[in-house]
Amino acid sequence: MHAFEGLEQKIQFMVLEVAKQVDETLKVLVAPEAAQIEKVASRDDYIDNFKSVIENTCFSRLHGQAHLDKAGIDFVRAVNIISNNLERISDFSVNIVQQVQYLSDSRFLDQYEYRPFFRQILGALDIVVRSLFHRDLSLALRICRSEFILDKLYKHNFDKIIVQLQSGREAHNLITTLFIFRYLERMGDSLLNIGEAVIFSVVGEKLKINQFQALRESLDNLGFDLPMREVEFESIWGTRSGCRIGKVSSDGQGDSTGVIFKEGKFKKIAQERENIQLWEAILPGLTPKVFGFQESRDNASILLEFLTGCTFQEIVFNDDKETFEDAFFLVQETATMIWQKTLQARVLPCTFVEQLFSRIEDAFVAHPDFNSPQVQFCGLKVPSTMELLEQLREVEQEITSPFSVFIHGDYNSNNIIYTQKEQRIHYIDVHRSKDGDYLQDVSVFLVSNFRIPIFDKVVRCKLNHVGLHFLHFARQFAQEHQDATFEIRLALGLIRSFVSSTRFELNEEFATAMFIRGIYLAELVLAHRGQPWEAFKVPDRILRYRYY
Amino acid sequence: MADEKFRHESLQDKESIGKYLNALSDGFLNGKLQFSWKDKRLVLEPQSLIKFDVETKKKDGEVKMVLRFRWEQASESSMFVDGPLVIEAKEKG
Repeated sequence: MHAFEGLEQKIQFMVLEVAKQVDETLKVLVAPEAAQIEKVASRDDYIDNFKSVIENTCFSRLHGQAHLDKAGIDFVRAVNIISNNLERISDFSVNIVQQVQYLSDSRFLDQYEYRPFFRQILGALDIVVRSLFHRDLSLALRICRSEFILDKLYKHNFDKIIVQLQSGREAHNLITTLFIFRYLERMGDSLLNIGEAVIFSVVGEKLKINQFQALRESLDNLGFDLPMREVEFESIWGTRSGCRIGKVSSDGQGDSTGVIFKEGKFKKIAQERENIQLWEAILPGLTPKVFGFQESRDNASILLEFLTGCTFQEIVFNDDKETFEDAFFLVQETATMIWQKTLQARVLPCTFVEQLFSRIEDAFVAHPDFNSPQVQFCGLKVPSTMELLEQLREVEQEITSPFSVFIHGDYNSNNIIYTQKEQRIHYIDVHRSKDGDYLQDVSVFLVSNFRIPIFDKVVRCKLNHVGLHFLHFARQFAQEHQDATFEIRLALGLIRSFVSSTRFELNEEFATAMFIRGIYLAELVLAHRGQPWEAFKVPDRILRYRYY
Repeated sequence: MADEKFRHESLQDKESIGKYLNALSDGFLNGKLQFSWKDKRLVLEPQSLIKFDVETKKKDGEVKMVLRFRWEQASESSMFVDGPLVIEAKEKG
């Protein structure tokens, strides 16, 4: 901690000053004296100053001198958050002593239990420095818990004051007292922020206390006998679609105990767990094992097996030709196996254009020009984007799929993992899996490769190859299973994915390349109206981007 | 008129591009090229001689062909302003 000596001393002093401030505030409540009140007010200036000094030190640390590693940066960020919240506690102290002056009877407060508040606050302040410098997560949790207790104390006193107010007497004093308790309760909120900042500096991730507890409980239930500070938490995708995803592994023990922790809305996480069970029955080991599941109110968290291996996308980027070919072969073989095993003859409606309607606005926000109006080009009528999609929606209502298979539901190349050692494919992120049209997965997969914004010739050629090859593979499956509407459903699925993918792509030229592909396919589909859909064909070249 | 601009970008194939070229050809023959979108309208009336140049470029598997038409057109205040129409036929391949 040598590099932070200056900062360590400063924050230590600041905590001491704020603790004194809270202590003096208690003294004012016990025996209000003008000199004491003045002392609290003037110490607040001193503490404000401390905050500025610490803030300056933090920022110059971050910007100046030697290179800081992530742990170093996290520490500085945590200290800054802590000092901000300490300053707020000091402000609340001033608010409280100012309220005392409005009490008509200085002994009025004696009938209330305000001392337990101070015991909690001072107790929590007492362990701030230790928890931060010893990276002690159980102490950090204790700081967080003080907020919970302060809330309860506040509720108790609040209820008492409400009853007393109904008597109609002492309204002035009662309201002043309520304000005082309210400020004490708000000190709890600041303490919670402080506790969370300590957790952040140790774990290296901004976990809310409930997420942290969910993670801890899940690990406890797993029988991981590890103090939390020995557990590394590494954010993998950060916050994505409302889920917090991270990898947890124990220090220095390799990946053997690696797990994936996901936290998010109950419905989504529960669906993922349910789908993993369904996949397990279809193809054991395809999806990661579930190690733990916790629920709390609307949220839930899940601990999943961390699969060593690469995503298919990484393989396209990095690996040698042989690994790539092995992986790509297995991707197709796994898909065939699943489709054949879960195929059920039944008529399914087509919903690609419907799906696009729910996402089109986001694409227009990113690219307003895509929402093009109707154009007259020397007598030639070119429909607006929305007109085109409306017409497409009508076409879609005529189209059905002849069978269903169990689909991944978000089959992009990031959600497919290849493990070389086992020579097998795994599926992750399966909360959208269900019985559906395999073209949902096919079209998502094709465009997930196309939309990768890498224009290096070698990678691009590989991406083009993956697209064309997978298209031929899917076509063959369709022929073998007498899927006569394959091409038109493929076209609608590609239109959906090409157009909706533009909402993530801010490179205007590349986004336009995807958008006009969608529109081109839409025009082809509309020009085909009146002829049998079985005769429609998607041109292969739609999947190529540069480098033929 | 001088700063009015019309732009339309799309992907076509060798069959569908004909619709656009025929529409242009008809426009020249009739002496009126009309472009409209939303509540805007741009009318070009090529009456004088038309300077026409064709430019093609091949680079990294991308072919670019620019057809450029230029002519002079009397504006309402009898001033001559340029009314260029640029059609870029971009073919990936």
